[in-house]
Amino acid sequence: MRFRAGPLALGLGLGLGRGLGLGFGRGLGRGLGLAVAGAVSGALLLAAPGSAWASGLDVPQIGTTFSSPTTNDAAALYWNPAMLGFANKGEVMITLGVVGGHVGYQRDRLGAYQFEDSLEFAEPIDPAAIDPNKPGAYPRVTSPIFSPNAGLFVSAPVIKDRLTLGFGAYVPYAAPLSFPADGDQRFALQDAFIAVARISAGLGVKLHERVSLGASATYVLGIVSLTRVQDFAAVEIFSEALANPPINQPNDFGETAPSTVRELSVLARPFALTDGYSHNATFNVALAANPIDPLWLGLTYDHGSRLNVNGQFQLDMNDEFFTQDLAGQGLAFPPLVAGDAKLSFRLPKRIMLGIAYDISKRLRVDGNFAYVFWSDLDAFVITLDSPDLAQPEIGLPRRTEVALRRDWKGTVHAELSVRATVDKRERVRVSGTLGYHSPASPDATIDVASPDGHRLIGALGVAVAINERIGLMADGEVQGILPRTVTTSDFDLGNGTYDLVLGGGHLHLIVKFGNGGKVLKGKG
Amino acid sequence: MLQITNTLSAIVVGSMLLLGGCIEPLTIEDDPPQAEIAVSETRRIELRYLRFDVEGFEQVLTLDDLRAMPQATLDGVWLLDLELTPLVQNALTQLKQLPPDQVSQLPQAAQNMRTLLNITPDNVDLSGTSLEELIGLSSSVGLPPAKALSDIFEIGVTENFISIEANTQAVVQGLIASHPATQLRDGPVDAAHPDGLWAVAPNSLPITLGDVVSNFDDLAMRFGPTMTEFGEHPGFIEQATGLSVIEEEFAMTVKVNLNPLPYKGADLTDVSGASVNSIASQIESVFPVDDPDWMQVEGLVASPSISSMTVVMVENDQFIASGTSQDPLPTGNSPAWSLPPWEFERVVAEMTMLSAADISNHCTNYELGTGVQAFSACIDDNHWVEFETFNNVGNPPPPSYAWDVVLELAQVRLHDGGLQEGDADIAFTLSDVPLGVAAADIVEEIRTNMAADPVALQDLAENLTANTFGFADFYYWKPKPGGSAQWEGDWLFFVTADDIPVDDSGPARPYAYANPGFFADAALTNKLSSTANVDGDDTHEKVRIAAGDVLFVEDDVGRVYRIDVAAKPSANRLALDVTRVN
Repeated sequence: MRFRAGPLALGLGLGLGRGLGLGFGRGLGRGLGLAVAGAVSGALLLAAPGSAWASGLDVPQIGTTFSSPTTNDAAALYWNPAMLGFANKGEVMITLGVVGGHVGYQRDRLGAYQFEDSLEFAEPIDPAAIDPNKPGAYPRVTSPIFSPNAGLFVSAPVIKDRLTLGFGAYVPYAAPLSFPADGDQRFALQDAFIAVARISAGLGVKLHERVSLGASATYVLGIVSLTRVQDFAAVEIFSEALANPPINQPNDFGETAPSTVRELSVLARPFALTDGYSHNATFNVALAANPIDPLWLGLTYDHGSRLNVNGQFQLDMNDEFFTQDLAGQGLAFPPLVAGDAKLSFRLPKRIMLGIAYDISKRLRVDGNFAYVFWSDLDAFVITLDSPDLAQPEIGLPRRTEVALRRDWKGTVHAELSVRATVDKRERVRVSGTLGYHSPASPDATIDVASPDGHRLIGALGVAVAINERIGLMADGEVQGILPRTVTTSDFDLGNGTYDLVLGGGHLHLIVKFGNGGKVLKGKG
Repeated sequence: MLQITNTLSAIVVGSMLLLGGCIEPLTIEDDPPQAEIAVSETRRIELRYLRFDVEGFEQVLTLDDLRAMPQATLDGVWLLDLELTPLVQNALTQLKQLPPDQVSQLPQAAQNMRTLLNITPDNVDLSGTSLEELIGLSSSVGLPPAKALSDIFEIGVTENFISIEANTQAVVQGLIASHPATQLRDGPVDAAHPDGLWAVAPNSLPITLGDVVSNFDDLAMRFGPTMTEFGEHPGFIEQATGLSVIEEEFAMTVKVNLNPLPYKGADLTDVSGASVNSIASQIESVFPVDDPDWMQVEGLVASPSISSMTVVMVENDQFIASGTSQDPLPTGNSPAWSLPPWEFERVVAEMTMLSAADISNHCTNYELGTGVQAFSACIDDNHWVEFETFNNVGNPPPPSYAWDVVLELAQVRLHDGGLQEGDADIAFTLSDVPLGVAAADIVEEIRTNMAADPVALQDLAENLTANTFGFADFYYWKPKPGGSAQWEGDWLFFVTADDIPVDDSGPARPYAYANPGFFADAALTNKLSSTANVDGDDTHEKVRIAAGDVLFVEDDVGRVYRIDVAAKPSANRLALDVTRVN
């Protein structure tokens, strides 16, 4: 089985993700990474320009390591439903596996900072308040990643050589992240749990002996929880409340706050987004062709979708500054603010192109290329709603919507697989893959919640046919982003060095059934 | 349905996880109250010094905000001394011009007072006065008496003997200015006012924020009878309702420059954290009075008035004789000048003297039809009036000052209608009497006054911030970044009585420290702290500390504690190990 690189995107199995980029699962891109980032940034209205999503834990594997836009297995429902049209028999694919690895980050603070127990809110900061020891390298933090994985695909030819239906239920990604609560990444992420479940149905219609069209529709369930420390210095509405009457304090807080006013202990408020669920749908359409016997072409368009995560949030405001010291001036949060959170953003469209060539009866070379329109994702829109948030005397409403700008760019995926049948009885096949995914997140917005970068992928798989109808597959994949050192992070939020390594192993049971569907009259 | 779907989906996903990834919602544990620290027990406390220096913060005070404040605080905020002359003039004018149908509703004395306000040479009734002789003299020369009177007083025959302005001035200066409530008001204690009493502007009513909020509901009490050096002042307002200078939409907005955060201190009893309001230490610089917009007031009544007001003025129980001698100058010898300034007779004398100031030194000769001089009326620079008759025309009125003439006339006329001496105390109720001052003028005066004495707003500002919490025995202080180098470092300030909030029921706790301050020994014999001036503070016992220092303090119940200053956790935090000694 193979996973696919890409950020973790809430891509939640949409095959889109670029989110946490644990990056398993082809095609799913940066899905979960998004989730995290989104949730993170979003979650807090207040949230800092969310970095949370960019790449990182990309979506896990879909299907097996043999699966691709030019493979006519049951997982073609995801990769290229048109390939279902080339199915000769019905197939049930059951997958179990695990994914493990780690995300690492070593922060370098390059900007100037106040002493963290100060509260000067506008530059120039008195030199006496600047902490001379703050800039520099900080201890590396890591989060282990370990997640089970499972999936079920069924393809069922209904009309022989004409129509094949497909069904899939799978969890392309589910993984917890856990960084040190007091680590230097805490303003981006402490803990996250992102899981995605997908239920898809589709069909492949063979229009011609060598051409097939296909499409599928997918329901995507996402589950998101996370914790982080919210830096109120980066919260635009907090800045505005401070700047507007009655407080009238011009300040440098907000999304573009310089490092000199960030990470002040009194404004560092623990935040959690819990029980965040998203219910979304997407579709894909695909074309598959076999123009000459050894050549297979597959082209898939995935529409992406608007993603809405609804959950609960809690914000720890238990500091006398927020709860009592300025109550007379209208600032009096309860120690724990809780309410509804909604995180919205657009998951990107994606175009996948697969080209496979059978060099011989035993050897195939399979190229898989994709362009993911991460540039579609213009912002994370976060809404927090709680009566506890309302501070009317200083202009803070109970419901707040903020847009967190992302400057992601489209990504290119390129993978090359070699698949071979290695025994004379043609019962054993092997597959090897090398690949590369370009990063979506620019240096300006990257952070530990979206550990994105140039991603290299390697996968191996073996398939053994027990008999004509039953086969077993085992595969493993390793991927990682090249250690990425960032020095131009906006506001010094994410400068430092990122690394990510993921590995996974999966077992698949393949059961063939049927004889390829009902034979149409005249088709003999 | 959605919830069910979520739940089922979560089960599906969760069941696939061998290692759960659940993230629990944040919760906050309430800190249970600590027990008192035991003898020999040591507890650590960390104190934070946080500044949140704001400039131009707009503090808005609505009527509801004000009503929620302790009355003592509101009464302590003096806004302005309201000049009463316009109000009195409006009241007298209204009485003077009262329609006849309303006049009949007035008590006889008030009716007579109204008559006096309207008296002119033309309508004056001289009967029963020494001027009665003038009637005969005038007749002898074929003149109406009004002509002679108008000549003497240099007024038209239909002009009032005493202008409303002079009436007003005399009433204000005599009746009102003599009342103690218009002389002194409560204010902050300072070197110039050790008794906390401040002079009120002449002829003015001191107005506090409490008056504004309460719509002056104690006006009659404040300006009612009270003792003075001249005896009991009868007061001059018997009843007043509906004096309102503000509307429900009232809002006072004050810009402030300050650090509104409280100081963080320790309650030694259980070594818990506490907060001490910091306003007092910065009150001198809180208000940016150079900013013309530093204070704005909205919701003032455009033309404030009193809905109903009963003004009183008592007469002397005796008929007060007019003077018979020019001496002593300049008043003559009428006993009226020895009367308390609020009595009717004295007020009449005063107002006539004021009015006579414009009368020039002159003589008027009156001749018979034959051309023979019949009598003359002269008034000199001192306003001494002399009538002289010739050729046996008749008896002239005795010489006297102009005010003596009017005094006699006023007393006689005041008792018209059969009133006996002592029964003609005047009381008249008027409606909708304008205060005579525009809202904008009030605002300007308030702004000016507050700018001159911001300390007067200290209680108010402390109530607005109201962020003293707990019972701190001392608190942590640092100089502002960029401040004077001589005060750099970490300081502990021992609380003073002023650090204890006060409401209408009194201080939140008694200030019962027998030995305030910080000491070097448990016996409290060697004091380390002092009240020496540090950044403008010369009231608190204070000491500069550093890691390793050992201090001893006594709380307000006589327990002694040892404080070991630990290493600083961060630049603006202190760590103290507190051990109870006894």
